[in-house]
Amino acid sequence: MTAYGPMRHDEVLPPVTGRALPVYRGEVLRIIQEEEGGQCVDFNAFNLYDYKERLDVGRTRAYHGMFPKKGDNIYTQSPRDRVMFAILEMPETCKAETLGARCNATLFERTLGFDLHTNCQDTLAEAIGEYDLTPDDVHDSFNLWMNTDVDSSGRMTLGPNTGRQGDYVDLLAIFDTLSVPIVCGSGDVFTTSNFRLKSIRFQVFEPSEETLAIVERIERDFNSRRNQRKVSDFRVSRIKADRELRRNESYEPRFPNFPLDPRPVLVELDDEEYEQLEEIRALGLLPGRTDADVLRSAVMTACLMEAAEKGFEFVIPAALRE
Amino acid sequence: MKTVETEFNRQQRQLLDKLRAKHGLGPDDAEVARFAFRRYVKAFLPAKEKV
Repeated sequence: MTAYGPMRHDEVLPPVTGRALPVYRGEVLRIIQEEEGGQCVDFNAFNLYDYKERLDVGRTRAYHGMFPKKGDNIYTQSPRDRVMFAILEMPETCKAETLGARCNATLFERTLGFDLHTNCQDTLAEAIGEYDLTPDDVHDSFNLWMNTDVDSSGRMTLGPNTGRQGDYVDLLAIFDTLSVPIVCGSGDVFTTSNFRLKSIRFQVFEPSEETLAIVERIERDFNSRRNQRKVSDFRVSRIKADRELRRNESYEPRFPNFPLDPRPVLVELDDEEYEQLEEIRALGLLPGRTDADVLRSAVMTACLMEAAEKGFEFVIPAALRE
Repeated sequence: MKTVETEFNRQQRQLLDKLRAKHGLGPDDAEVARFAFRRYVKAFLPAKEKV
C-alpha cells in the first residue's frame, strides 16, 4: 500500500450533510464507512483555481466503464479532460458508479410525492455555497457505495448497499481541488443506503514522496496532452456574468479540421481478399454495405488495433481485443 | 483481382500514416490500405472461429 503523509483533517459528516474542503496536489482524501456501513456517498470536485473545471463522471465512464475501481482515474470534463484523482484504494464491497447522477428534491416529489426530501443536489449546493458556488455548479456525482446496475433493456437498477463498516476509499488529488464529499440523502426511502441514513467519516492525508511520485507519473503520462485545453486556448474565454443568451453576430465558428477533405483511394484486392471482404459483409462484422464502406471499416479497425494506446483499448471492437 | 474504390479523409489518412511509419510501407495509400485489410482479416479469422 502507498505510504501517505500525516493526517491533517478528520471529520465525521452526520446525515444528511456534506463538506467542501480543499484537497491539494499529492494529498489523499479518504472516505470511510462509519456506523454499520451501507451508506451511499456522493462526491463532487472542482479545480481550486478555476471552478469551471470539475469532476466529470461521463468522461470517467467513457474511459473506465460504468463502475470504476481501484487503479482507475477520475477525470475532469471536456475540453480539459485531465486526471483529477487516482483511485488508490477501493474495496470490493464499494461499488462506485457513474449512472445515478445525483438525486434531487424533484425526484422524490415525482416518485413518492414528498414535499421536500433530503437529496444530494441540495446537500452539495449547501456545501459549495461556502465557496460562493451556486446550485447550478453542482454536477453529476461520482457515487461511492451505490449499487446500481443496468438491466437487459438498458435501464438503471438499484440494489442494496454492500458497504461494510470501516470500508474506505482513497482518492489521490493530482492537482489542487475543492473536494466535496456528502452523505447521500436518498437512502432512508431507497435501497441506496439500506433504508437508514448514517454518518460517514472523511480524512485528508498530506503528500508523501510516494503520492507525489504517482502524481508526477500521471502528470507525465495522462495530463500533458496537447488537446487538454486550457482557458488560454479558448476562443471564448470570458465567463458570462448574466443569464440571458444573445447571439454574437460577429462570431464565426472554426470547426476543427473542417473541411475533412476525403480523397479516393483505389485498392487492388486479389480474389481471395475480395471473398474475405464479402464474407465480412455477409456476417455483418463491420459497418457498411458497399465494398467501399466495408473496406474502409476493415482498414480503420486494423489501424485502431495498431494505434490504440495501453489502457484505452475500448476503441477496438471487443471481439478483436486480445 | 478486383479494384475497390474507397475514400479516406484527412484524419483517417493520419492513421494510415501511423501504420505506414510503423511497418515501413511506401507512400501509396492504396498499399497501406491493403496491408491494413490483411491485418484485419488475420485478426478477424481467429475471432470468427471463437464464435
